[in-house]
Amino acid sequence: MRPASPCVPSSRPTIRRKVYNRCIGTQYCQNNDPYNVRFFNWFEAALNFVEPLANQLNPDVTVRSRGVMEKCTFCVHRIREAAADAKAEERLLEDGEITTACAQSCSANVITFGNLLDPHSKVSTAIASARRFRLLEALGTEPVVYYLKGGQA
Amino acid sequence: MSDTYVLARYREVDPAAAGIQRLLGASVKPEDIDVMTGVPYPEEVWGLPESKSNIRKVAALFWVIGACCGFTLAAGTAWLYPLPTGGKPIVSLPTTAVIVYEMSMLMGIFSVAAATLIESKLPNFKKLPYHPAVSDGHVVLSVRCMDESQATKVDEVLKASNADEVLRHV
Amino acid sequence: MKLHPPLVHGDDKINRDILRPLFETSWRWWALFGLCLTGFGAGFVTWMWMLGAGMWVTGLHRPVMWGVFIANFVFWVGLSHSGTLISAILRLAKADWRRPITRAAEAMTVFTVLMAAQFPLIHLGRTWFFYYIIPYVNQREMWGNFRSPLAWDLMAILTYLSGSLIYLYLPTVPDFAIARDYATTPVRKKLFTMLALGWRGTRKEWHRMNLAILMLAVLVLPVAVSVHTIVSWDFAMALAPQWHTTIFGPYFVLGAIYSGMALVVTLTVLIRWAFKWEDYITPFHLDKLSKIMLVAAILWTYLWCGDYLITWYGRLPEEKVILDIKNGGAYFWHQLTMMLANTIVAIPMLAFKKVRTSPWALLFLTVFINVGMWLERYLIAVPTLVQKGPAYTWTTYSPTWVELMMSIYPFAGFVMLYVLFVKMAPFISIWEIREDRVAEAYKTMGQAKLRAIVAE
Repeated sequence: MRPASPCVPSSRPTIRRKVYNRCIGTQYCQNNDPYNVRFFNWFEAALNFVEPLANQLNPDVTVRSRGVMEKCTFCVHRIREAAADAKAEERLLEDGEITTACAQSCSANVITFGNLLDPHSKVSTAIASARRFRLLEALGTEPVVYYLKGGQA
Repeated sequence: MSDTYVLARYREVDPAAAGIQRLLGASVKPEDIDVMTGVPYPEEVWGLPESKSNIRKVAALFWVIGACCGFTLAAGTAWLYPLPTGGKPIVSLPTTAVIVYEMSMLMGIFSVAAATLIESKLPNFKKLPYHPAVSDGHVVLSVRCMDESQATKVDEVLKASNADEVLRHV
Repeated sequence: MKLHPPLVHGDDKINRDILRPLFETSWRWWALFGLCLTGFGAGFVTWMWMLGAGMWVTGLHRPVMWGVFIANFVFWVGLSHSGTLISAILRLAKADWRRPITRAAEAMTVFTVLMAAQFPLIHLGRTWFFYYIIPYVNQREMWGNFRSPLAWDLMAILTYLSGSLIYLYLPTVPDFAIARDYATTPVRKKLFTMLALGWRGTRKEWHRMNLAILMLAVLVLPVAVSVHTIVSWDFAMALAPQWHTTIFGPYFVLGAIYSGMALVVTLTVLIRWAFKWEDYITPFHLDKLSKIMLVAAILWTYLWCGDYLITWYGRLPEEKVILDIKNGGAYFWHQLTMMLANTIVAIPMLAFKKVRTSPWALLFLTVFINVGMWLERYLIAVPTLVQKGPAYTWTTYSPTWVELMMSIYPFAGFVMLYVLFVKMAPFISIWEIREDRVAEAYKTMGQAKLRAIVAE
């Protein structure tokens, strides 16, 4: 739905990625998003992070320009880094090697991040539960975010 | 060009049409006679060989070319830089159909306009035989003559055909 | 051997009447032009300021990312509809009463599309990168994404704009030639000589012109239908309640014809009054136009009811919450005004011949209809976004002065281009009027003297 191809979809159930540099800000993805989880950059963030404030910015993530629609990247920079390390050491990625910033900082350990295609990963075992559900599943959007509702497993 | 044009202005259609018949009778070639009018009249009014036009064929050709362009644009670019989407083909048929449709129409419209102008040799800002009374709804005949003697002869024929005015254009 | 003998003034009354606005400029024209230029300029400055400041100056906020700008876009594309469409239909149907109306309608199409085409740019977050959507060859081998309805939109609007421009220009060439022959000042002479392309009205030129107009009408008609269908797909292809419906294609096309016809009538009435062209545009023509408008009004109402009924009866919870705010919530007055303007008042009024032939009644009615049609576009775009998706994201939307200025902008811009066009081209197709007069004949039948047309 993105007219200038800023999004990179994939054939496997995976993370929806966006190429922010290609985004022209038609805001159409917000309309198409049944979850309303797109965020618009109203202001030029780079202007507000003058030295030395710029030091708090993540060096692995570019600061997006004003007028760009954003969404959660699932900390793709962490994934890329770990994947590159694993490749350099000529091994496969291990479960738990990557975690997202939100999962890392969550004191109650609510969030689990991992490989859904690996049946033995922590996240796969967690969602094997009968309590699992996905938001607005009926729309057929095949989200990769699973939730566990209350009750007995 | 050494061609001389003899122009005759008529207030009405009928004497002008009769004038053409007289010219043909005086062995003036039909391709040398032209009629200028302020409104389109049916071709049969003048009794001259019918005008031919390839606009239809050109439009049909460019319509097909446009369809091919549209296909290249929609399907071709998708193949050039494939972006796989979960469970969907690289080349989406409905999308391609929309682009093919719009491009074929665009090319069709452009080609009709271009063909009309090219066939009528427009734009043309040379001083061609013309009489501004055409704009008032008058009918003006223009006859191309090879030499002065023919022009004099045509002059007489036209004057005899109740022309309101006969003049020369060099 | 005079090359250009002095003019012979034959039946030049038509020429003089219709060319008058081209050569004479009254203070009223300057006043109107100045007013429109001010509005247009103010809108343009607002736009430029918004570009510099950012989109936060609008009333938009997540998830209502499409507001007045998109309502304006759909409204102006809709207005553009009837010009070319009606002209093409009437030309193909050889309806002789079309002659005094086609030019004004075709010009309306071109200028409204020009205004509409700016709104996708205005509402972009990064307008300066708008060309990413255009499929141009670049070293990164990146192309636009043709799966997006917005990319279809771009193609459709560009096609429609080019088509309408050609369809306006080509039949005007013989009239430019008349203007050239009547022009007195050197600047005008030069201008109209260029525009007339050296048209002389020879037999072959006319033959090709007639053929070309016919071909263009055939080609432009389906384009006009496709444009608004594709605009409707901007909404219908999205997975959003009340948008995701198959009825949107025909519903948008009919709404477009309806609002476009209303604008054609508004403009026809105003042109007739401003240039004192009562001899050329008669109540007969207004009656015919209004009848088309009436048909469009009835069909639009039918499709609106079809859409409404299915949503209401289906009672999907996602759709019901949106229907509720239209029926009794924040958008109650919008919907009521819309229904009053487009159906409850318009249809019974247009059913009366007295209304259909009265210029001033029509003027008020058509302006009211277009107010209703603007609200209709607003009601399509906004309520869905206000309450779609998870309930914790629901919100409200109220436009700011920026949106107001950007709504004045196309109005002022359109009228400005239109009054400029008055100085550029005869507003009534002179040659087509004269063609009608040449073919006109009267036939006596019993005690009556009836008008007959000699047709090919």
